[in-house]
Amino acid sequence: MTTEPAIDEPTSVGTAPGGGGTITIPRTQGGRGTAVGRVRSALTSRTASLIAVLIGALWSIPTIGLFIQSFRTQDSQDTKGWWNVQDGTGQYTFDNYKTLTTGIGGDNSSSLLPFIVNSLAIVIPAAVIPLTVAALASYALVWIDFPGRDWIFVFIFALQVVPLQVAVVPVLKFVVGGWHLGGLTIFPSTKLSGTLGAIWLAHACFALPLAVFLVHNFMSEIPRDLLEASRIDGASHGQIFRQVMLPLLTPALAAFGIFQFLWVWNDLFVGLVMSGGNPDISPITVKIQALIGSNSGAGTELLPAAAFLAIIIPLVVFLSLQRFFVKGLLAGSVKG
Amino acid sequence: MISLDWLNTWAHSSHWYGKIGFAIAVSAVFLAVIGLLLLLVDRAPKTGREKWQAFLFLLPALILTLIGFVIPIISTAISSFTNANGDWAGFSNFSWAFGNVEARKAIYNTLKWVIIAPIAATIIGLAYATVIDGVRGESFAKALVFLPTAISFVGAAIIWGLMYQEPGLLPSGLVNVVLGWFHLGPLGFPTNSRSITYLLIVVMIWIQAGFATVVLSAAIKGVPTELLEAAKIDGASAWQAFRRITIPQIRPSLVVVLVTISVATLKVFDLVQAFGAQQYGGDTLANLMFTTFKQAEPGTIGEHRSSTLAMLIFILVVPFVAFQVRQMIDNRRVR
Repeated sequence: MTTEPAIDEPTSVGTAPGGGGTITIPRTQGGRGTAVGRVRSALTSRTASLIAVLIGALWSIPTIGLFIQSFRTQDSQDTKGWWNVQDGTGQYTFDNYKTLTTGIGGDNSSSLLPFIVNSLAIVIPAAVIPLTVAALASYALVWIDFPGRDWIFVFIFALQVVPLQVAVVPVLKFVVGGWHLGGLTIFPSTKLSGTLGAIWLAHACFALPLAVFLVHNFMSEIPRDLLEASRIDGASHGQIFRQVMLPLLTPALAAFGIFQFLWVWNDLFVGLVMSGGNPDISPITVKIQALIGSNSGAGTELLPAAAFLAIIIPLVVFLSLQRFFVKGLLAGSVKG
Repeated sequence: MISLDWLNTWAHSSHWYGKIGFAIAVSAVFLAVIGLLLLLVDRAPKTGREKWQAFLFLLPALILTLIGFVIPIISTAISSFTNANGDWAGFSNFSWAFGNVEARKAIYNTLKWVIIAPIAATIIGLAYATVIDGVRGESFAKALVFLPTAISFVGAAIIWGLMYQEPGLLPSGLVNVVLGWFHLGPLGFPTNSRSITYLLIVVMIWIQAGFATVVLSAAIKGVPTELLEAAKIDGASAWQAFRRITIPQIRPSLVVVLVTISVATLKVFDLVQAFGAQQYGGDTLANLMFTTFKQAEPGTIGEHRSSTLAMLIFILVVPFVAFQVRQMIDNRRVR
């Protein structure tokens, strides 16, 4: 097995969120021959293999089914299940994918490409902004001495308690109308409504607690001597941040970047509320959800291909950058 | 004043190059502003310099926190205690939530979700992580189960819609075919109100088990070899060693996994919305909150009710996050 996509075992990880403690992992490369493994294989290997194969199959069959179904003609989909390799009808076709991308016969009205573009345009600033903000904040919280810094950190971490359901409608109202107290305008309307700006702002805000937590943990592990040496050499905080910290932070920023990419790409709730259904700014998930909702006869044969188009980009990102993703996961767990 | 119309036009661009270009330009401008902020940091006044610098480093985060969390939580809380005229309404919106049939159903279903999904996903993740530990192709096996993590809930909805497909106009989905072998089923998905919540929970477990597997697998590899070998010498069976040594050793990770999946489950929205499950008795709090918000005319009680439902989710999440915060403070003290 040399070609398999590997989830690398990280050699050391930080504290899980809230986690009950630092998880340290010994450098047992590949995991073969760990103690649990040996005890297991000595005694219960048959049942164990059965469980492994069963779970592995159960977890991959649904996606394989979708993939096969997406290449089948409507006739084929309507007659037999996808596991029938020969079903006596026309079988396999690229037409579903053509209809959903370039269009067939000049009609590209059902193309999903505009929504994939929207998702891409949403995801770039929605990852860059919180990452930068979190890196700055973490620098102050870890390396600058000022009263109450631990409390600020705990406060930002605790903001994870606020579900999106509580926050998203007020953020939408802020974007549309600004803030008012009685008749007094504290902040005017942002003019962002109906633009991607509204979605970026929402994602940037909601990503912050987890981003600060991850980057903060990572930064705390950088040796203090490094910073003190730079200070003695006369470097200012601004210089240290740019020239010393940013290069060292790259792995943490990459881990969170992938996290945020997947999260934003797969998000439905924020996209649905902030776009208000405007197709010019709706992400692909909102479009797919609308397609599922309107599954009255015509067009249902396109659903599997549509789903596959929606998940292919995150899948590629995920498979190629899994190593960073797993590190981020183990260091900070996921947000919900 | 210089006209900013071109900016407005660009922001509303409907061409792909316009949108992507705008996204990249905004990111670049944002980074430039942060660069200026860093220059400003170095020009901070000499008196109380460190405090000024800390403030400037924290400023962007504080602004986002204010917009995204502090003001929203206050305004949602106020909204949940007021009526359509903005007058104080006490707990009347909350008594609506506990008295209304639909809302009660949603609360009840949400509790089902949060009891079943985290425990099932954790057990499956633990079992899988244990049986694949140290075998050949372990990372491939892990990737199989981890893959759904990258799939959106709406994507998963289509995948499982196909699995659960009802026989009739369309051919049976795989699940119904397998049930048929045992003379069971069909499931009646999604219209059967007795099964819909459980069938959706299965999808949630399918998505979350990979997370549990990866975290628990890392924890299992951290169990000291000596302990397990000592147990073996003392004649412990594999199961005994697992129960008495592995489980207590990985307890902290088990708790993290359970808490994280619970919080995600409490907010479950996409799956319910994608299947339109609310029509068939499969509503949850997060979905009802959204539909109530969507259907509410501005300035009516509906908006306040949707705030109330959001506050209920908030209240349910509090114990989990409070627990996490306590753990984190304890850990920092230890360090």
